[in-house]
Amino acid sequence: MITDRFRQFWLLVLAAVPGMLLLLAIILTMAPKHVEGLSRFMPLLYLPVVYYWGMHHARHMPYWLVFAAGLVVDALGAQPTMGLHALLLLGFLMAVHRQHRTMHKEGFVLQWAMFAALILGLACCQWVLMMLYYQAYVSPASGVMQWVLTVCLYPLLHQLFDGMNHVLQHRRYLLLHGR
Amino acid sequence: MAVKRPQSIRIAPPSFRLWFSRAGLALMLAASASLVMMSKAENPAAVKLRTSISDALAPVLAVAASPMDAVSAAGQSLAGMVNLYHENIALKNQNIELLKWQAMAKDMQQENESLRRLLNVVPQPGRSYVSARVVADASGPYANAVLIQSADTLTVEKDQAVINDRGLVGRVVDVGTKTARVLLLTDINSRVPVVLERTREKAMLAGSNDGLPSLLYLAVNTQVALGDRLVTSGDGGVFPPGVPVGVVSANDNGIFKIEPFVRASQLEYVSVVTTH
Repeated sequence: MITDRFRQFWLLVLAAVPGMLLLLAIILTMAPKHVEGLSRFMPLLYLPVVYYWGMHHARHMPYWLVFAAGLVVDALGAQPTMGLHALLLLGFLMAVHRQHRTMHKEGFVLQWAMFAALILGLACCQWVLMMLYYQAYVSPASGVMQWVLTVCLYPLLHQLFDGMNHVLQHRRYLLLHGR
Repeated sequence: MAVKRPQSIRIAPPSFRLWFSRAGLALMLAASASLVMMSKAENPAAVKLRTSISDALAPVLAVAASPMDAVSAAGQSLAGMVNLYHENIALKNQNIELLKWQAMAKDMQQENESLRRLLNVVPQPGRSYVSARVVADASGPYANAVLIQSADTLTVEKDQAVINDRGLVGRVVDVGTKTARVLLLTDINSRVPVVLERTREKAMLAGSNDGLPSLLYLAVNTQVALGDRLVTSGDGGVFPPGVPVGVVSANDNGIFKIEPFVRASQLEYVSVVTTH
């Protein structure tokens, strides 16, 4: 017999999965790589997490979570600014939510193209903000490479998140229906 | 048999929830923008927030760094085993060469000590170090820094030099209770006073985020050749003098590019120079 308390606990755990996934993606992005030059081009693994869960389960990717994740990226990141990634990620999630109604039922290719377009906008914003911050020209070459790698990695992560989402929905259904 | 759904939190009316959500979002956007401006002004509250978050996540980062370190070590030992024969021959030759240098260095050390005694030179104070582990490689397209974790961060302060067995790594820019952020030589904000070992000409090493810092403020008619070694000059008092920095690797239309001895990807353990 499953008690209500047990059920509520597991529903909370399931709801926390996207947040935990986001933290894991940030830590993996920041972990020492030991491959020469990879740090400069390292795909931003947390962006596909925000995009996928923001697009398909907006309730599980709230603004406060993305704001907190942005602060963590700023705190662990090399850039001298606190708040920059929080600002950029909030803007990114706002853009994802704007596309949600039209995009979430579209096919994978269109969603992938939208992801590429949105993170291109994000990369451009970051580049301009960094130039304003440093008050000097900064080459965008590494940023472009990072954008390409993040876009190329998205299909793999999309498949992984689809699988996870399926399992989570199934577990949630079973818990709600007392099995 | 269907079971009654658990009674969850009572849901507020949609209009209130929408207002609450929008107000929260506006507040978070304003907080983010304020933090950016506070960071630009080097406000202590922004620095404190940053170090508090990195201190809190330091144990998680240390755990995450372990498998990466293990994979790197396994890769290195595998490469070592493959090249064992050739490496052995190279090391034997290097050993013969180093023995010659050792004899020469001992002679020069004795000569140096006797000359110092003759001139009554005031001896330079010794250096003391704090060892630390690199737990996060936070470098990206627009900045180059690493996060280090040490058991003894009480003696670590802002602007202290960070070195490893190969040479200069960078300098400390933020210090928390468990972690410290190290700005690497290659970062666009990095400036290191250096001296060319061969000619003793002084210059400034400026990072450019591309892995190859540039040599600035060279005196007119300075003779610089590819392969010249650079060491820290000690000017300004931040970096101890004589720490190996890198070699001149290219001449890009009159701007000399330097290849640092320390590669960010090889960083696992570093030493913070606490006194020099």
